[in-house]
Amino acid sequence: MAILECKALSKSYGLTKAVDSADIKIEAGRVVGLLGPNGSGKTTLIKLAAGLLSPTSGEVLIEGMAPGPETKAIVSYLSDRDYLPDWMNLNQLLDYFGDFYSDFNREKAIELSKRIGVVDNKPLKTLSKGTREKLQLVLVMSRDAKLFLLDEPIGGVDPATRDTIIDTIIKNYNPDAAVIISTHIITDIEKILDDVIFINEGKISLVESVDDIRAKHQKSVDAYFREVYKC
Amino acid sequence: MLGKLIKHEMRATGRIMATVLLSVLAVTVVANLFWKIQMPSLKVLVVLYDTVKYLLLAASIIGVIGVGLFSIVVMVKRFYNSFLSNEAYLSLTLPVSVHQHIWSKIIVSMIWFFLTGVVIFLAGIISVLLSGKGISLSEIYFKIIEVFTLAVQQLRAENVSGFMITLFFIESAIMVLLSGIGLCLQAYVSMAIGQTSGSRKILSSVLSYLGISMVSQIVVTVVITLWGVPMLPIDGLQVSTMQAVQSIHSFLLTIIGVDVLLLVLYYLVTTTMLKKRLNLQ
Amino acid sequence: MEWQFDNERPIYSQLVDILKLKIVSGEYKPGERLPSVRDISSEAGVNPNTMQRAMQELENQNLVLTQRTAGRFVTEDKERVEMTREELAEGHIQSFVKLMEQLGYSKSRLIALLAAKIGEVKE
Repeated sequence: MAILECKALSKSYGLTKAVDSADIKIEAGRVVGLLGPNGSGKTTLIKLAAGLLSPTSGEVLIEGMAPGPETKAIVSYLSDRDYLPDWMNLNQLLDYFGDFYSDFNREKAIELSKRIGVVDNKPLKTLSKGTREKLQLVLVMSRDAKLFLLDEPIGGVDPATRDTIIDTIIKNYNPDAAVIISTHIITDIEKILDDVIFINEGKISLVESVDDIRAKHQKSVDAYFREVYKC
Repeated sequence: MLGKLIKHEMRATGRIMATVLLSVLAVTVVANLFWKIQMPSLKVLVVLYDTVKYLLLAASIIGVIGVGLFSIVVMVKRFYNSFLSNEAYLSLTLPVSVHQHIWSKIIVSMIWFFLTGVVIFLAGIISVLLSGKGISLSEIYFKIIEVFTLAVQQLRAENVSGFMITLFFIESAIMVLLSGIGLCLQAYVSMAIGQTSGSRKILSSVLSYLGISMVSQIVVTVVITLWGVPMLPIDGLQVSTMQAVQSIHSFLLTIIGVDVLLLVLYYLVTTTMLKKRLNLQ
Repeated sequence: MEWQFDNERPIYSQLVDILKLKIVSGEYKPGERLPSVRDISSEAGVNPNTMQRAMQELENQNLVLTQRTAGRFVTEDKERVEMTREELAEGHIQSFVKLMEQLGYSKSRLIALLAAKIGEVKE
């Protein structure tokens, strides 16, 4: 059974179609890049899979189930926003995640937190924005989830942080899980992707493996993407 | 999961509510003590002392009135933070149902409402105890018992059954409970509706709240006038106490009924809004 | 040796080449146990599936063997490594010669140039 399946999935806001009849199937063990310009519908698609939005028509299924508490238990979602309560400290966050997610690995989270420089128990608001972003990723990746939805994990961070994030995603690889990375910055992330999905104006225009694109077009996915969308 | 939600909700609200509640009690005690103690001699000191005395009195009065409002503000703020701010990305991806979310918030708010009531009551008792009129705690206790017993005795004398009396207490308790839950749900449904408008969330929430309160007032008034009041024994007809009691019962039950219907409606609208019409920026 | 990738070729084939180079150059010694796919992917900064495919290709070419629970090992077959060394060299030399032809170097000029340059280039 596919980890994520979208069948003619559409989401409209008034007359605008943020996602237009998307058909997607993502199997376990795949790292997939959801690539598209800003406003293309990437974030909406991710939110639909995360259960934060309901479809206008069509279906989104996670391991065959419609989004709800059961799917949220196996989906680990990283928003592109600052969404952790800033009055919480590391310990309280670990308690929180540990309480609600049975697949949360506290030791791993502590270990990863140390690596990004979060060792004591000061409230989040005392940490820099960059550290908070890294900590969000740490918490998300410390779960043994079936589907990881990472919305713009590397946008707006410095190169060193970007490398750390990419390395964390590689080291976290689980052949029973799928990872979807939504981004508009393709260069750094291309090498860790199995497949890419191009989306623009809500429509899926391409679903292909990175190596096939390179073999067919003799250029990187980034270069090919620019060509396709002429941006 | 509900238990865990409640635990974390208490953690999130615990520190500030406990601080405020304990402060109000502390200020009441201190204000009362200052009031009693006379400062001798130096005029300057007396003026200073009096100022402090009056300030403390004002603080304690504001505190007692304010603490009720404060608990409501905290209730509203928690809902806003959890579902209408960036934190929604965290709350609404938890493996819990919307129902569990809302009930955890209602339950914790009710706990704080109850404790706030207790604090206000204690503030009153403390003021009485420290008023210097020599009333002791046991006197207050017995006085309260006395009033209750008298009321019950009078009702018994008129052949009102013990069952009926208990029923009245239960109905009153239910109405208090419903008003607490109602406070929460009216705020929640207004915010749930308000969040659909994206950029003007707060304004829409306030407007929704005003609209909903107005409409619910009207509905309750209409129901009471059309169904409730006719039940009451107001005509000149001589009615037995038994019948009077029963009609008051029906009256109360009607009010409770309308309340429950409204609250169920608010609850359903809130959950539907959060499930289907979530409008995260 | 750095893990360098260009943009025009599939990563999988580039990984195969880099891994062969590491084996042939002795960075991965004969019989040496290779790092786990996860560790080596992290080192290379690539997708573990792609790395796995590359490893599989090396296995198919008998440069690497899997021992059930013990992991992956570089072959001890020195001849195989030699053959690979020659294949890689052959490939590079062919493209080099072709390029130099395009640049207009005649055979003798090329040989003289090489003789001179080889002395200069030190590892």
